[in-house]
Amino acid sequence: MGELSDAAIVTQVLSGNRDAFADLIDRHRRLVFSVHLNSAGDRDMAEDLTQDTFIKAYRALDTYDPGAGRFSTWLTTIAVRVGIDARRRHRPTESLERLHEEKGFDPASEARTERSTEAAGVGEAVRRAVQRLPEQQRLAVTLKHIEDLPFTEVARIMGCSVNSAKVHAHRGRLQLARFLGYMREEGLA
Amino acid sequence: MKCSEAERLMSALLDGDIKQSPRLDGHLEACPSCKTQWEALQSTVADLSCLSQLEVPRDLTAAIMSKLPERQTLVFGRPLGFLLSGLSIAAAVILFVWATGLGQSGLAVTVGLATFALNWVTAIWSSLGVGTPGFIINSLLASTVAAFVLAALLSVGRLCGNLALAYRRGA
Repeated sequence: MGELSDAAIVTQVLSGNRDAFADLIDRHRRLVFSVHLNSAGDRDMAEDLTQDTFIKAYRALDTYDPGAGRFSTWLTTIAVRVGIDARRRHRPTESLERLHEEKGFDPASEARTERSTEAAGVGEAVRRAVQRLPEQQRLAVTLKHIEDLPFTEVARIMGCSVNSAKVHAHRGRLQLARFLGYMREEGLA
Repeated sequence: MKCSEAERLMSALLDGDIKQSPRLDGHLEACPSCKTQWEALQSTVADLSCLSQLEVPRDLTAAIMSKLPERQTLVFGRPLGFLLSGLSIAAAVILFVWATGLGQSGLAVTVGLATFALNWVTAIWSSLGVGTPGFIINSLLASTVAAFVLAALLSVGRLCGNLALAYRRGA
């Protein structure tokens, strides 16, 4: 017997099978957590935002229209809004630029150190560099190159055209290459 | 080839729009600046792919499930929707019978209900000792009918929307 589609599980939940929602969480929690972790940076905050995202999705589940797109796209759109709202509410107390200036934080050197110990865990320095990107570039890079979504989905989530999403991804890649020390900063000799 | 064209091809390759570009390969052989940029972009994308190996908190699903609200907001809307839809269908049938003149009994029932409602309102006014101001009663009846028709139309729209959504979900 084949696996139930997301839309079929949504129907089950709406029919009163609350527990079926756990299947949707299991299927998509990694994607939602990744989106939040790559923007919030902090695992605890990413976990909180992931919970908020799924709770909001649960409340709005009867507005999901399978004809309008995949469930993961609809869910990620909610995640993006939750992330933006959270950043508006809680301004970061310590920006990466300040870390750079006050504590000698250097993402490029951290990235190089991280690469040498990459097998040991997640590339935190790479993630920090991603967090430094402007919102749209970060989203395009995260969804395309970390989550491997096609640009049609990326564009839907971002609410823009495919071409715009590609432009954001292109600029994000260039900026990241500079942050990670692969390329020189613009304007520097 | 200009460097701007080479950069466009690099993007197309990284976006997955093209698999390879001999023209870009030729340009990279002759342009150290573009070659450096291409290697930098490839390394960046490789670094990004490492981030996809992500460890999600194990108890995340349980934590979310324990915080889910009761389905009052969702469930409440559905019976109300079905009730309104049922009323709209009943209204549509009565209006159809009345408008087409089909079924003498249907017409009699409609007239009977209207007469009953009119007598009821008149009795209330009489019990209040203010007489029977016909224009007020007529206005009230007209408003009630208009509100009922409006609610019925909205319900029909909602019913159609629900049916379309249920059909797309495969229910």
